Amino acid sequence: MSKIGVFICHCGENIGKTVDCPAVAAAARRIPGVAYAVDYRYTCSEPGQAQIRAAIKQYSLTGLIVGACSPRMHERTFRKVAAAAGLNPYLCEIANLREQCSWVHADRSAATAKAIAIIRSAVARVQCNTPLLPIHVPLTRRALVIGGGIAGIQAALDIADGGVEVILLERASSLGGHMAQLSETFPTLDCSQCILTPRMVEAASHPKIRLETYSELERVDGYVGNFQVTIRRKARYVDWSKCTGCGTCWQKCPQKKIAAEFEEGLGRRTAISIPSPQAVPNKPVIDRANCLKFKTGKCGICQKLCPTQAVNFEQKDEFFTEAVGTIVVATGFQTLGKEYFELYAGGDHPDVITGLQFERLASASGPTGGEIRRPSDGQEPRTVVFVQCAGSREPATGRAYCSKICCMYTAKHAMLYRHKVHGGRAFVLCMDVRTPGKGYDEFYRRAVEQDGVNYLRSRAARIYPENGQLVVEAADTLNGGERLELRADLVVLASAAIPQSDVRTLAQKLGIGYDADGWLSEAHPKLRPVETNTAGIFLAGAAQGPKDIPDTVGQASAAAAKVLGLLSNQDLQRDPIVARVRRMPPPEYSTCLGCFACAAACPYQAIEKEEIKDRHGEWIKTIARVNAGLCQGCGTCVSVCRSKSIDLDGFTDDQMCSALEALGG
Amino acid sequence: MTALGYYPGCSLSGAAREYDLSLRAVAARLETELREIPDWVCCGATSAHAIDHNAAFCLAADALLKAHRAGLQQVLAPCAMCFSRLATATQELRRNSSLARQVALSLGGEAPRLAQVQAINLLTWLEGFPAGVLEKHVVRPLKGLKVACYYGCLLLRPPRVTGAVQVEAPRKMEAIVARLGAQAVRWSMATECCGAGFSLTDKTVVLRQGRRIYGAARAAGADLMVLACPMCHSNLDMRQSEFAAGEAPLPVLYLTQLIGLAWGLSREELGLRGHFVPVEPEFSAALARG
Amino acid sequence: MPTPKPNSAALPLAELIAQATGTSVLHCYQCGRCAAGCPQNQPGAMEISPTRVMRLLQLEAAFADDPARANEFARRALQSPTPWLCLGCQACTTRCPQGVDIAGAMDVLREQALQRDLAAKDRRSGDIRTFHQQFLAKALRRGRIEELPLILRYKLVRGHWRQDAALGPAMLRRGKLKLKNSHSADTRQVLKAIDDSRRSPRGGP
Repeated sequence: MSKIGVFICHCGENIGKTVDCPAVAAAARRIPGVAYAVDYRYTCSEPGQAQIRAAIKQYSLTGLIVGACSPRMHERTFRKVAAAAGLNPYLCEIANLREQCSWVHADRSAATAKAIAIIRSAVARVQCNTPLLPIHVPLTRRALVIGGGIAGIQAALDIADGGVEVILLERASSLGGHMAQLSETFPTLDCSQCILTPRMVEAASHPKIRLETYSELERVDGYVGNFQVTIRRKARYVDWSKCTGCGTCWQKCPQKKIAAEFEEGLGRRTAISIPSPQAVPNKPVIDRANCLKFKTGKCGICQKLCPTQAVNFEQKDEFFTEAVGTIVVATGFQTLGKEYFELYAGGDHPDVITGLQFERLASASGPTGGEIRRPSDGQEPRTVVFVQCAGSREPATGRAYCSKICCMYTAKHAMLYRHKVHGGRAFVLCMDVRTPGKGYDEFYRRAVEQDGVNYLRSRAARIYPENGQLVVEAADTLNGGERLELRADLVVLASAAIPQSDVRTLAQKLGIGYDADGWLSEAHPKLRPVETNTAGIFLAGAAQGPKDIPDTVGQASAAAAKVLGLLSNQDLQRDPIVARVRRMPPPEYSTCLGCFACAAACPYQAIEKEEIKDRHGEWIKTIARVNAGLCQGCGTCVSVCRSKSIDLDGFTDDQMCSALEALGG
Repeated sequence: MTALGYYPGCSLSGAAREYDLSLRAVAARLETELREIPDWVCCGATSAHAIDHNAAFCLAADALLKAHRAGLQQVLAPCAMCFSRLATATQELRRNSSLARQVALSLGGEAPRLAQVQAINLLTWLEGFPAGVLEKHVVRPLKGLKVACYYGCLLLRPPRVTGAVQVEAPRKMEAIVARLGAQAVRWSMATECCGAGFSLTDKTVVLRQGRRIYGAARAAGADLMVLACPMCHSNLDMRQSEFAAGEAPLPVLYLTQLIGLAWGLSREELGLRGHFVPVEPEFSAALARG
Repeated sequence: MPTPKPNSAALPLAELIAQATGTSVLHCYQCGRCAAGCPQNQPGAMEISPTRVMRLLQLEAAFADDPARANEFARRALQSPTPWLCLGCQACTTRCPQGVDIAGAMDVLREQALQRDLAAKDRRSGDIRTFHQQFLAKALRRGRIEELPLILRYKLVRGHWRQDAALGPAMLRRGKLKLKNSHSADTRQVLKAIDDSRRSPRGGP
């Protein structure tokens, strides 16, 4: 005969106000198999827990039911209490009297009757529970960080400093990401490259970090603690083990007029090139589409001049697979290109540029050496109009969200312009100025009050060229919407931050979620901001949503802490709530017919084939087997199995049927 | 011969006769039979929707119903205003607003059936001809002719009514002009309003807008302007002597007239004499320059 | 028994606009793009910008439980010349980041201003209003519009005889005006439909 203890929690007034808890406890005492039942104001409190521990020992309980909040909230708490008193934790069940009863009902007597029924059902269920043991999964103490921008660099450094080996994957040839392109950074105006480059070098030289640049993630297999990642190292046509980065090749390459991606098209590069002089690693790749050797078969100057014979036109993409225990996704963002903005001078006017292009203009290492020159004729612009919310907060064109970083970088741009161009006029067209953050609003006010930037509360309508200038149609909404036409020499669009164009493919490879806009989804918007819903995969930086540098670095360190926390275990313990194929003695071995409908239905590829052989190694039958490391306990296989050969531990057919029958009675 | 529903609207029977003439001449060579909707009623133009939503919808729905009864599923409405009114009615029928549903019933039709009738504008009709069709009739290539393509408002806006994809920097008319051998200039006022129906009630608006449009076309080096709206034509042609007094004349042609010129159609067929700003000698002089 | 629908005069303008356009002026976040791109929002034309008109409509809705204040906001929107000066060019509707049909809202404002006898009284608004009314009346009576009779009648009523006096003969010479009414179309079907739509309450059967 089972001896079950029932503990009814008032949860303050949450349950107690609607449910007559002493009456529920009294009713529980009359259920056969219940040895002890009591109600208490806060069962999760320390005295409440002590009461449970004492009862388990005093009455030699064989099962435990806590009638309280949801299992999501406190199942773990009470199972620990059971374990502490020597009871197998999986013999403890939560009966949800709050979300499923008191919160959704008003009538006290009806709610009390329902609560009693829930307890009756839980008692029937727990009588079928069996002790379960946690599953131990081995662990690869190694991490993969995808993305070599500041998020990836920071996460990799923190993980590596924690003593764990990291593979840092970056698809460009150099580390650095967007931060490497920026001029100065808000709110302190320190030079972006000056603070980033040391981090890039540190990452490249860290003994625990292995750099894989110009490489992309090809596929991912496995599960938390045991991922196998396949990486494609793209053909560079340069043997980096020989290359010394001397620069002869990119100085002598005859293809000099290619629009440089790093310069956002404002500067030129050669067909064999490094993105910037601060590149890490400082080694070139050949851009096949623009290389004369590949296009015409003639040239090969780089190969002839290379002092170390590093140039190799025959190089091919390489594929290799690595085992890692966790993955950090730090793939960043992009911004809308100006061609998107038909309304703004047709989307192709040279003097309408994006914020990222302005960064290159303002950067000392940029195409103008840090002088603000407009692209059309190289003249210094006397009036610059900065257009905020370009493509952001515009549900009519598909993006309702705020890009978050633009208010601050626009204030910075206007400020830099005013510092660099004496007597130049700066107008900012904004809707709201959003500057939460330490020192942020002060920074914006400084742009207005000290640096004389003119803010107009208006969204720009049309921008069109006229007499060598750009006419910006604006209105002052703080003055009743009075129409103001601004004549600008240069227009800078704070173009919306958008997800990387291939983010969905990446998310599907990794089995992680993304939202309607394409930002990667965190497990919980407040309490689990760096975890994904897939165990062992974490998020850092703007891939999860638009973010500035401090937030990005903070999130990257948080992701690193999660990685180190996970990898600090000897192995991984998992709840043993997994499916199991029923086995029986020979000659049947199992009722499983080997149809593998379960394998087709399983969303986690957790069903394997098991060949049953006799002691001479002769094949007898092939049946399904569940890989407990992959199984997430969803139960889909149980529902599709026609011979009822699979059951789910912790949620067995017996448990569920008993619970339902008890409700019916 | 392909048959196409035709809703000429009031202007093409009156002040914009040359648009009707040139359109018919072009259609004949494109082997398109324009079947006029029997007993069509005025679309109500701006005035109806400006002050009476019910009347505006009923007038347009009446045209759709008559087209439907005549078995015409596609109706060419060369006037941008008529096109806009008919397309707006279709839009409302599809949205199935209570008014639309009820009026459709009251007219003796059903909303879904009326919504099947599709109004198209001149550009949609012309761009439907595959490459080579417009080109093969060209006897006088317009090589070197610089053309400002003027869209105005209602050919494009609002896109949920017109179905236009490029609304702010359109290229459709430019593509057609290029097929005639002419060169479309990039300019900044192609979609700026001409002042619309204010010609009579507040002429200052028309003169101000006309001035901006004329000035931008000139600055872009255009020899002439083409358009596809009788209202725009009257404002930019008839009023040009007022907003550009003493300046170089800029002929304003319907797109069908320019096509006709490239195809060698006669002045009479194209109604060129109806213009206030003479097409000649500017046109021939520009061709000679080019 | 179904509750009778309130008559349209009692509904807030925002509600009437939502019915007519399928979009809500309450979504307007006052960015000013409509005002920035409106060809008529300039000195000598509109005094109240389209953005501000949207705001007045929002204020009417916000104070729905205080009819005196709500009516005051509605009155300012309805009495403004702005709707009459709107060219209907659809630039605002096309560009509104929130998808509000602003030009469609102007249609509702004109119609309501007439119905409530609040239409702007200035000379220019009056000219425009008269023109629209005459145009529509003629379209509904004869089924087709001919320019000359329309122009003459407008000038007769508004007294603008001297304006464009020379244009008439010039247009006649070019065949752009005809002296006689020659076109008409049967409008009985349309008139019946309009009549039906007025008699049954908005919202359908």
